[in-house]
Amino acid sequence: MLCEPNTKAIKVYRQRTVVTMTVYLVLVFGATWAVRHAHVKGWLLYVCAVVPSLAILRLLQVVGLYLKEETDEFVRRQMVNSILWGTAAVLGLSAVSDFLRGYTGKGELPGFTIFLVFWMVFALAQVVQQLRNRVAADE
Amino acid sequence: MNNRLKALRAEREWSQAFLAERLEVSRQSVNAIETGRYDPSLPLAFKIARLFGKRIEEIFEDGEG
Repeated sequence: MLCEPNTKAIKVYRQRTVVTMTVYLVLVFGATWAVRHAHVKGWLLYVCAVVPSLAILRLLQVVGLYLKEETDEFVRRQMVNSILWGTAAVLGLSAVSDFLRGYTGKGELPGFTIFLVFWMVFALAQVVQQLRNRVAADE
Repeated sequence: MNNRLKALRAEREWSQAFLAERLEVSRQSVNAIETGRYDPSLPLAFKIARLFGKRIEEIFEDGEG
């Protein structure tokens, strides 16, 4: 049976993540609408371009707060492992991309690729670790 | 690092869930320590030792002794 630990810190982390992602979606759609339909210009355009990234910065802070608040060291280590997997994936990807661009002029990654790859690998690492560390029925 | 956690727990007829609750960690953590997939930090090792009324080296061994 897959027995996911449900520490207090994980519950708080999930709540903060849901709230942050909801705010992120609102900001992204709001900024997109403002740029495409309200045709904002000047400094307001720069504000619209930057505002969605604030939610992403908050998401990183949420992860940091979780690491600080988690008292179960084994569960915390799993989160750290996932972050390391995500970081390794994006550093590797960006290195390959940079060399490709440097030598061939091709291989530029589309916008947000690094961001998406990080969180996808992070999530995959979480799932793999949960499966590897699943516990059977209690003895 | 080898340990006698599972044997000590069995002697007391404690479940993993009970031990996890006493140690204030998840059952997953207890299972990982028992199966040798995770070596606890020194503070957690001391906590385990205190709970079982033993010294750390009576529960954990590094295989070099």
